[in-house]
Amino acid sequence: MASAEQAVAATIVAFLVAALLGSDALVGLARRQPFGWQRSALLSTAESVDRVADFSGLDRPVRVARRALGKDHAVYDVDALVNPAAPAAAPSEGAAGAPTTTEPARRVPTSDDPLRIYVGGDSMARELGNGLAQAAPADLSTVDDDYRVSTGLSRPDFFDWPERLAQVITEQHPDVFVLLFGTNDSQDLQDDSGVLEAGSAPWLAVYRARVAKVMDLLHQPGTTTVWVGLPIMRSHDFDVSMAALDAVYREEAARRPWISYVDSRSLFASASGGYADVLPAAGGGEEPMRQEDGIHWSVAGASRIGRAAWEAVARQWDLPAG
Amino acid sequence: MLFPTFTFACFFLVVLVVHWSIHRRPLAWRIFILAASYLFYGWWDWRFSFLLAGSTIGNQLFAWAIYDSRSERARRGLAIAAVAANLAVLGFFKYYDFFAESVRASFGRVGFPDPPLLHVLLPIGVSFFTFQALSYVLDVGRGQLRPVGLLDFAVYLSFFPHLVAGPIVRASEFLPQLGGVTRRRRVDLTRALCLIGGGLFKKVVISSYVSANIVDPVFAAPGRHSALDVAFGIVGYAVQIYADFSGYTDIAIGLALLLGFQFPQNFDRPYTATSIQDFWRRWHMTLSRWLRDYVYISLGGNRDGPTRRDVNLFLTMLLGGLWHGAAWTFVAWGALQGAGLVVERRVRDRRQLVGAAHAVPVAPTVDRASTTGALRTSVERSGAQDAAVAVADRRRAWIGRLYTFNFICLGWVFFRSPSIGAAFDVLGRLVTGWGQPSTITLVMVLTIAGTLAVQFIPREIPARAMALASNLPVGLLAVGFGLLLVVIDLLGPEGVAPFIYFRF
Repeated sequence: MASAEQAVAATIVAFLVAALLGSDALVGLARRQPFGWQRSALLSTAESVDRVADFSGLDRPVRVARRALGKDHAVYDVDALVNPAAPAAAPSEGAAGAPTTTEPARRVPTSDDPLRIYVGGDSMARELGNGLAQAAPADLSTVDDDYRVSTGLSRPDFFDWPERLAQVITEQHPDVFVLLFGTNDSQDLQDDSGVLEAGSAPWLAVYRARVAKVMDLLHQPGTTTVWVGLPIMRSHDFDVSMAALDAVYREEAARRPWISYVDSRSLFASASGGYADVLPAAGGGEEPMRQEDGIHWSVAGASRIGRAAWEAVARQWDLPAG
Repeated sequence: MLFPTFTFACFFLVVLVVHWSIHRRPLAWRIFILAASYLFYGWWDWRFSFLLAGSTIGNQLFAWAIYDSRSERARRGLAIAAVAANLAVLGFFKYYDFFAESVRASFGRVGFPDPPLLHVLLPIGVSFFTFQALSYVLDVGRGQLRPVGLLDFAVYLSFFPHLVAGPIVRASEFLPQLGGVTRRRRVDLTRALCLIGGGLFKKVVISSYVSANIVDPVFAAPGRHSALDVAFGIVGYAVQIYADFSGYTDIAIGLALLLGFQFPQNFDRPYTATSIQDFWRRWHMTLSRWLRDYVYISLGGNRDGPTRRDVNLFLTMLLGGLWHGAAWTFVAWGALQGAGLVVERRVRDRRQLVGAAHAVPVAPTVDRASTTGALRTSVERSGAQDAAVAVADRRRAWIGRLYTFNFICLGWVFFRSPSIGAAFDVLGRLVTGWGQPSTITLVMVLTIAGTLAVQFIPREIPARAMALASNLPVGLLAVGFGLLLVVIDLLGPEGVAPFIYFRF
């Protein structure tokens, strides 16, 4: 047993020890907070601790351990991999909202050398990946679901998706990228000019440029991309901001023949074009398409979007969709 | 606020310092800890605080009314009303959309009007604090507890270490400690740090790793995995849910210890259980005891014969399944547990009957050395017979462990799956997936096997280790704990996955 004073002191010392030894993680944590005075205060404190740790060498063992565990991956030159093509003369479209591509199909996947599908994005990409794994033929494809909760393209200081995708391109060489972003992106972002208010015109311009850069990054020899748009959200205010982001994805994808865009808004709309909790299911009858939050897909919803994503992949690669 | 986050760490440090600074001032301390607990709870959604406050006031009014009642009939009526009110609130928030959806799916096709889906937001921890409130009211109704003041009851119900995911601490366990908070000066620091550190390791490292690398992929698309992978996915889920939930409650118990409060143990090496009944004495022990004392016994327990006992047991486990969530998979899981317990009881009853029928009377021997002169009888066995009995006992225990573990894992398939059909897809793949290549890694095998094996370490070993650690200087303990936090952060994933039991 210890006295209460000893317990308090021990707890404080323990956290100080952890903060000093893992100071770079503390700085990273501070950087990932929403912009505002709390972030500034926390970042200032964390950077002070980091300076002390760096000066004393206390943080070196953890840095070495991080490298040994493969958690400090090599930094990839994203700009060197970005490959913008000349915009198509006119965006080509089939049926309204149907995804198309003007680039030829790639290699023929076989059971010995299946199609390597990489799924990335925020937490909604989890259900997308699950649905795609069920829809895609297991003998002709592999599905690697690399979703990251709470991430997006607004805050590379929270999670750097271009960096991650550059790593995936270099190390894993997938054939197909299936991506979904947006639900965490309606927040202030920071660029060279400072912090930009979410939804403002300058913010939208910077966000569009980031989306374009990611799409150009995915223009790699022998690969295709399916960009899954955002479905209608139950909350009206949230849906307004998501619709604005979805328009960016649709417009930028239409300029790039290597990108097929999947229109989730129409896929999950009610008969009157609004939000729908339930829709006809593949096995007959109606099933709930969304979870309680009115954002994420339910099991039936995942199946629906997964099938749509697979059909887009199948068209790109000239494979059976059914 | 989730426990393994920087925000919570900062919150708890402030609470810890202020708590021990003002704990000798009963009123100030109570107001402070109440405010801190509501801040903790409202951090997810400030609207939840109104529900917690409403539950506090409503249940305290019931407790006072029950205590002041002059007749047994009035007390009983008020207790029933309290139970109904609490379950109505729980039912509305947790089950309305489930039943509305079920009605729509079952009767919508024949033209019955669809009940509206209200998209009721599920308040975090509502199942836990509702059961805790009911324990208070029912104990008052049974004459086992006197009502305390509103402030004390509010502190008990909202106390943040156990608020959102247990353990289910009964009022009779917590309220006496509340009275002694001003006198408390000692803290079981070693045990607290071991519990918090161990809990964080189980939750952040083990549970996250197993979930991301085998359980989620297998349950998302079992058809893409070999039978061996699916088997590991199922056993992996057994490890994940144990590490996740026991890790969380270990942290809760450790935090409470740092504040000078003792919480009951919630897990006792559950996968060493030699029977299903034994498992439920080791898994989520506070819920099991709550269901036994307030549901099973209230239904009549085993007082009215074996058939009634079995019905009560089945209904209790069915309710236990439903408590976990608004889905048919939880109902199926609860029903499976109930059926398993009933079958086990019947087999045991039959064995006892057969054993009694075949018992051979053994002639007693007289102990002539007895100083009282009274006959002392004993049934003597040889050493070889003792050894044979011990071997047979060990074999029986291991057979029991194997069938219990497999039965529990079967139940976990339903618990984890998003639907009954998906559960059968997973189970079916165990049969159809042979001959496919496996993706299981050595690290995964060692993680799963290691987590299970740790449960079989004799109790004396960790007890001795903790006793040794208690003798270490406090400074060394603190540095060690700090190092452990760094190791956990290194080995854990990026970001924090929520606790499974937060959904309840």
